[in-house]
Amino acid sequence: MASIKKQIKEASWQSNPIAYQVLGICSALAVTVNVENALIMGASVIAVLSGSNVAISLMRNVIPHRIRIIVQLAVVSTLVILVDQVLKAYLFEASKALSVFVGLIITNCIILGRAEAFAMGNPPMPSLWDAIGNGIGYTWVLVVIGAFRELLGGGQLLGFRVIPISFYEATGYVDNGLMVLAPAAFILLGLLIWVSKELGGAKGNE
Amino acid sequence: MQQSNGYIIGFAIGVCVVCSLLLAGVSTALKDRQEMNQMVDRQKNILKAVGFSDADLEGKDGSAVTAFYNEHIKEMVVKTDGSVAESLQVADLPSDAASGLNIQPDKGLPLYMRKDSSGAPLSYAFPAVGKGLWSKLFGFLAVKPDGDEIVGLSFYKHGETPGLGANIEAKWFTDNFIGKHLYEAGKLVGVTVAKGKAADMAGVSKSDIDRHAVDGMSGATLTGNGVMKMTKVAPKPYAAFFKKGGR
Repeated sequence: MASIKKQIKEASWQSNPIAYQVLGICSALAVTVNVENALIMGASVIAVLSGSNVAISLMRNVIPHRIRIIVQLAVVSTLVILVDQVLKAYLFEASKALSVFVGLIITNCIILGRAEAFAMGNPPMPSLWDAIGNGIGYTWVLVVIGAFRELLGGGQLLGFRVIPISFYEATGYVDNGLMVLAPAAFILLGLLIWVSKELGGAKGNE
Repeated sequence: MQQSNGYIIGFAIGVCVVCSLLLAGVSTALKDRQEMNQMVDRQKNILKAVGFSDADLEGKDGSAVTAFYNEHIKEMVVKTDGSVAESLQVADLPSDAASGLNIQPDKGLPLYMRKDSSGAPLSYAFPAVGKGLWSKLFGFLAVKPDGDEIVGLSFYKHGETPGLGANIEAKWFTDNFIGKHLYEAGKLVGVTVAKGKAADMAGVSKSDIDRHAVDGMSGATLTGNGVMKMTKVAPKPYAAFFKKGGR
């Protein structure tokens, strides 16, 4: 049990996929306009990553070495389309909000990266924990960036108004329009990597 | 370990077969639900375009939305000469015509009438399709029975950049269209989407701004241009119908 905890912490904090491995930046910029999208995206990535890591790990001894990347891609894309279909059927609004980015999970480097770097060489259970750890690491970064962008860019959190309308009228405060644009996500991501390194994450204290 | 070519090809085929069977199965199993979601989504957007608010629709699941829709909306088919094709239903039109994807004017135009309790028209909504930056924009534009004053605009499908062009869905943007006019002295001029604030537009008279211009979206000028063009094109086939005074 302790080793599982350690593995998850290692994957989500010390070698965080976004902050340390700097993978999956594209979607981290795109879907972090608000917290809700970040959460759904994070959940989708955890689902796909767990599925692909376990599937690849189960097949790791029979996958022909020369076509392993293609096989990994086939597994990943199948899972992504599955998630996309399920979202369309049961969470229609969310799938509309995420639009193409669900499909683009296929090209999310975290998933192929973990399949190639971990699942190909480890048994299914550790691969699952690795997937969950990395997925959590991806999700919390998205949620933190999403929270800042939603709060500063729209005065809301998870769709609830945090900064009251009267405050805008009384003080002339204006939402920061930059926050809803992609450059703001870049800036926040940079700050987040810096802070997490200072706190000992992202292999900062080595 | 070097595997034989036969093994590699066999493995590849095996993976493909398993994956495709899985996807085909899931897609078939979920198809009905997805199509229902799309239909409900379209009905919701028609309701929003003709002036119902989110509050009216809140907490309603799929079948409740459909019931509400049937209570307030009458689907009809009109011809380009302005007459109503009584014998035709929206469902009879070529597939996807209902959403504006595939309107063939000679076969009839879908029109959605909001009726009051006595059945008299309050407003009409019709599909509005435009070209954004990356994608086609699908929406509904609703006008008063005079065919001129806009009651509402809603978008339900597009592939614009989330956070930028996707703001066409946002309430602050679509609400700006309410009360604007499509016609000026009998000519279809549509609604101009300004760069920045409409009030700051140079070389345009105040009355023109009040009647025909809305605030733009920062970072999404091209999407805005698409919407602008759409308001000039989409009402055209319906002009004859409204000229006859609706019905």
